Amino acid sequence: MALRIVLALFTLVLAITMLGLLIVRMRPILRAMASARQVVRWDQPLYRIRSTAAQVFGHKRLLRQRLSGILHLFIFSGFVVLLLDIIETIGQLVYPEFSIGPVLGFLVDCFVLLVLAGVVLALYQRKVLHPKRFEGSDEKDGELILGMITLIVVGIAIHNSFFRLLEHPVFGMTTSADGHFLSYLLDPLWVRLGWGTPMAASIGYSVGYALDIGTILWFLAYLPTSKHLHVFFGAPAVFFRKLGTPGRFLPTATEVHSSGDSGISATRDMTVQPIQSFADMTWRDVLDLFTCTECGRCQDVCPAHQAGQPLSPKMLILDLRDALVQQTRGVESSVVRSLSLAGDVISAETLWSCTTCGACQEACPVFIEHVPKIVGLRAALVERGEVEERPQEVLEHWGEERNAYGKMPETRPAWRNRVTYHFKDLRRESAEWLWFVGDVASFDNDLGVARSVDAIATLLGGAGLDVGLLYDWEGSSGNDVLRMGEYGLFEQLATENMRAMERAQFERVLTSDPHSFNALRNDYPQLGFKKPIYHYSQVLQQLMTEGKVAPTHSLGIRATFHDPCYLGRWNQVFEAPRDILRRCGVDIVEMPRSFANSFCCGAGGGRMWMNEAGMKERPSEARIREALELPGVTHFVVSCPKDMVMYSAAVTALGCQDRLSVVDVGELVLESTGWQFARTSAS
Amino acid sequence: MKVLVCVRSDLPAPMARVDNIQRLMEEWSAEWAGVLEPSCRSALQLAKDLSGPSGGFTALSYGRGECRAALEVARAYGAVDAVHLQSAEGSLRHDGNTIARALAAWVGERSFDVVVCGNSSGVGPVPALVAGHLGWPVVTRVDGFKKFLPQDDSFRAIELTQRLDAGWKRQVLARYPVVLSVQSGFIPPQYVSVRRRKEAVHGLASNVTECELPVWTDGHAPAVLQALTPPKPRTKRTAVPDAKSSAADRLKSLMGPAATKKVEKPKEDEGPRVVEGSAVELAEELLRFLRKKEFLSNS
Amino acid sequence: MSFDGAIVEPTVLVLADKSAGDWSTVTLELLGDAELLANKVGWTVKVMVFAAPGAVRDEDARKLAAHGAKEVHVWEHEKFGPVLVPAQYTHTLRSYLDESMPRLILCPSTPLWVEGVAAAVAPYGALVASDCVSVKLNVRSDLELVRNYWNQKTHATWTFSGQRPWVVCLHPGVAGVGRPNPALSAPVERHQAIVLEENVETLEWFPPHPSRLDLVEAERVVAGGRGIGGPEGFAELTQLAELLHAAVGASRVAVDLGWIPYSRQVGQTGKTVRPRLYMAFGISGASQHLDGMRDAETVVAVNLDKEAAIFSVAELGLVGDARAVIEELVRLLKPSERAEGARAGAAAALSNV
Repeated sequence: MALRIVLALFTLVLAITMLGLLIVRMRPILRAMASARQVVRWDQPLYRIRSTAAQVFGHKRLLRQRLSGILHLFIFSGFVVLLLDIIETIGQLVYPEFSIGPVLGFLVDCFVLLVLAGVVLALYQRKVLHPKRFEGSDEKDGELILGMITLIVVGIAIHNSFFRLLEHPVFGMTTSADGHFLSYLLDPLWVRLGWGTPMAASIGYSVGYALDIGTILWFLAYLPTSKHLHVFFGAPAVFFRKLGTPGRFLPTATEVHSSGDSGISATRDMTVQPIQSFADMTWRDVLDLFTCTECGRCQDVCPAHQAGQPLSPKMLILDLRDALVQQTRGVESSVVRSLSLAGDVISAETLWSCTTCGACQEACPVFIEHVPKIVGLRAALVERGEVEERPQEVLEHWGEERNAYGKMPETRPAWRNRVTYHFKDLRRESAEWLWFVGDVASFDNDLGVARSVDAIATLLGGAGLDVGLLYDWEGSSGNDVLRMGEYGLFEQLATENMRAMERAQFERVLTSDPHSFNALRNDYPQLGFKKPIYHYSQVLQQLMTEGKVAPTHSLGIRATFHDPCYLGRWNQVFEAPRDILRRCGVDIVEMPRSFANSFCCGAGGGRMWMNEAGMKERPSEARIREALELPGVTHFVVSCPKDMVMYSAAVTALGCQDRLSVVDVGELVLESTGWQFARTSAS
Repeated sequence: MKVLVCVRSDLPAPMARVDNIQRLMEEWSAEWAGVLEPSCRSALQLAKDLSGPSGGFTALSYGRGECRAALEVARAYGAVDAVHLQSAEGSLRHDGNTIARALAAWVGERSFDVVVCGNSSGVGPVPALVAGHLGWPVVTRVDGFKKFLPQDDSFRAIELTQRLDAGWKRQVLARYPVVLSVQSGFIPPQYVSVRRRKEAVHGLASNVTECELPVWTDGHAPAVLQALTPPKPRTKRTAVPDAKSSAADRLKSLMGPAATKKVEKPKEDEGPRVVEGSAVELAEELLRFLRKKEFLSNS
Repeated sequence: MSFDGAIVEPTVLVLADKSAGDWSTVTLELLGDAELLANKVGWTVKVMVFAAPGAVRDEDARKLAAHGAKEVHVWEHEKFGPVLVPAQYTHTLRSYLDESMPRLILCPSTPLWVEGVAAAVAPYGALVASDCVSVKLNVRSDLELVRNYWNQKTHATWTFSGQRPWVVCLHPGVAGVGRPNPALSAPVERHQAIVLEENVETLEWFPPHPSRLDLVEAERVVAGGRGIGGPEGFAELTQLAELLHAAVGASRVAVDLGWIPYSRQVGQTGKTVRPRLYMAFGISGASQHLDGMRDAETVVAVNLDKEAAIFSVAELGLVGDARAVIEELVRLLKPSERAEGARAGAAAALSNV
């Protein structure tokens, strides 16, 4: 009896202290979330629950990295089982005969072993394999937590085994079969050690109990300053993630207005704000900072980080978190106060390194949204005027001439003089399709870009598609502008494009530029745009299905396909280009990084026009090296004009033009149809 | 320090064609968004840097409706006062001589320490003319300033770096009042975002001081714009008589400098030419080319 | 600010530029135009030179005479070399104008002359026109001039009339140099100039160096790529740049290879340049690079590969080893070192002051 009272008192005191501490330490975090900007993430609740369950219990993303996934699953399942143990242990304290039954008891012990196996694997990973992604993480924290977990499960085994020795002599119960098979192994050991006496067993039980329940309580109080806060925040982070096409940057009407009074005005004001301080972040952003598990998967896939640039998505989140913690702790000396998030906490070089490829978000097991934070911080730099010389020039061109190249808007459709197909002038006549050409395809003087545009034009013309252009009414879609953080300029460009598209008569849009595709498909609708939009690979796929574009001979080449970030990862279009390549008789060999894990060419988010100094290796060149490893592959197939520019340059820089040619999907389709690309006599 | 910066609006570079410019000269059409002339951006940045984080500066522009664009950007850069200088003389927009007189007259009635002007390619005479009219020194092609000296009343000056001919630079100490001219790109300018610009437009709505200048009656004959035409290369004089010209012309040309018969450029000069040969031959070919193009003197 | 009504003399005053060693081309072009005008209405062509003592020899002056100068006035001062500063000759120019006001002043349309001359003539109420392409007198004896407008996209014709002096700054390289007449001569008058920079004091001089010359501002750029073979190639290129008074540029590849810093990169991710002369050595001409220099007025390219894309934008393409051509050019240009030496010496003297 005395033993139970002592333990109960110990539990009570410890629980009050630790839970109190937990609350005290959690409050600033919750308060920071409460004072952050609102964003509503309650839509599609059923889907959210389903997918959260798949991520949390099924470890869908975590298991992409086999070892880490499995060991985490072991430890995670232990946490679930832990609940059973707590119920039993506390129950026994109140009423010694309480039991969760032999089946569950057996389960608990199984998981004790699994967790221990998980811990061993985790230590093996951290100490022996030592993956680079942990660089910069707080490894002591990780090891401390592993130690705590070990203590807890060891405690479980100890107090369960001593409990059996106490059952009869102390609690006066008959020995029952509780399913804790580990006890059967340990009890003889204790007895042989001479710890079978009621007194020793009581001590042993108490030690085990303290290890178990004590460590759990300590763990709770420790959590708020640890990466293990994801124990609490992981599931909510998954639940409240951004739904729909990942490429959408602007919030939807439902995200902004909970009451659903959306869609009243045709064009809404943009609701994104630069992140000058934590108050400009959404509560979701703040949640992200504290959910980060420091696993470094984002860092592993980041093209900027691999190129040796200062950005690591993980460190970005951690640096922001540490700065926020400092603020919440009241360490608000004037020095801290005068630090700006963009520039001081996160350096400008770091922010401008990002290609906005989204690989980090795709890799993150707890669905942290890195890119919106980077863009928001960039926006703060932009508003302060801190933009490097070259991108500044480009931003000004966008503002003045509505294209990145500083060319006269009237010269935008100049490329069409090269082809015979007569495109309708949507400023005057109507057509079924609008071809939104985009800046790079219209103006870049890269020969590959010209080839691909000509090929697409010939195919569309040959298939008899009713296509028109906006001519000089078209301006840059602003996809990169938005992601460079120039929100106002994006709004200006988008508004002008939408006005032009409202005046023009057409039913759907096709684009040869994944960046424009993304903006028109995901961001323009938030401002009121309603027409359907397709990437040309989707259109070609349809035309081939209908037989309007018919390959007459198989190309018989081995090629690899590069998924553009803004077509694949951000818009989940993976099959259309592959399908049409297969129909042309192309043997597709996938690169190790393909589909959603594709590796960026390095041009996105305005990087195409930025300083590359300090790069160890350009992402585009790393990517070409990856393709060169594939046996027998002679063609590197792209479906984005920016990719064409970047990879043509990379192939030249690596001097491997003879081994690998960079071609556009459209070029290959054209070749397999045997149609002649007809140049007009004018050129 | 009281800083005045003179800014002007321009056509966006790709729009600068004869027809647009002609229309522009007649009347500024509202459909054209003027843009800040690039060197004025450097001027604004310099004015902003000179007046420091707390001090404001005054921005002045001239012309008609298009000057709004320049004043808006100036405002976004932190100009506290915006002045629009108008004149009954229509040429205030185009003729540097009139502009300089007007600016000098306006500045002369006020007490600025520093007047900063942009100078697009370093060959605009306006900043120097203003200085000349005012009797102030002018420090041209400024590309930075270092520090302020103690601002007592007896000696108020700034230290500036000035770009000179052929890549030379010098550091100077200039006493107030002084006119500074700066070329585009000399002072790396801050970016002005569209949102900031819009706020500036808002702030500008009620805040432009309109100044009317009187018509001068001192018999000063102004420069008169006669015509705007597409650029036509001037036919060049050559030192060598042209093989294709008539015998009489060639004789005249050989007889002396008085015979400055202008000759058409020989046709084969046009178009690209690719030459092969040894390094020595190529180098000599190149030097010949440079001499012909007058990048090297013929001696 | 007002013009005191001094008598305007029937002369054309040409401001001669000798800052690059010999008379600049534009000086001779100015003389050609001055002579044409003078012959028409009977004005005298006078030439004014600001130079360090001894820098203008009698044979130099004879050359001016051969191109049409009737009087040569050399104003000498230590401070006029090795580099002429606009503000340092304005006082001399003003004191000359006080005594004899020409009808027309012709000077090169370069920053050195436009801003210096404009500051000097403003108090006389002169009419100034810069960036002019041509100048003539019309039937009413008004001055009619054609000026470049908007980055040479347009020509504007203006007329100057009235009693005030006229100043015309001529864009270099448009008029052409006529044939000299060595038989002509002109008296040379040498004067001791007074340099007076009111309220501006020079603290320090910084001599030029090709690798510090602002690429964007430079009138001439010599750029190197992979084909020049390494950092040593750039050392030689820098020498050549010095000889040609050009700034050094580079392609992305050369910057990647670490041969030269990023600040020298020309192209899409580097600087955009618009020099009058762009010389590309060992640059193949990727679109990346062409993007940054396609607006150069005259492009010369040297490359081993006959098919290199750079030749498509080059007015003169030379197929050969870029490094060897650079070495050869340096050798050929070196003999005219005398003047350079003098400049360097003067620079050294100046920095000792």
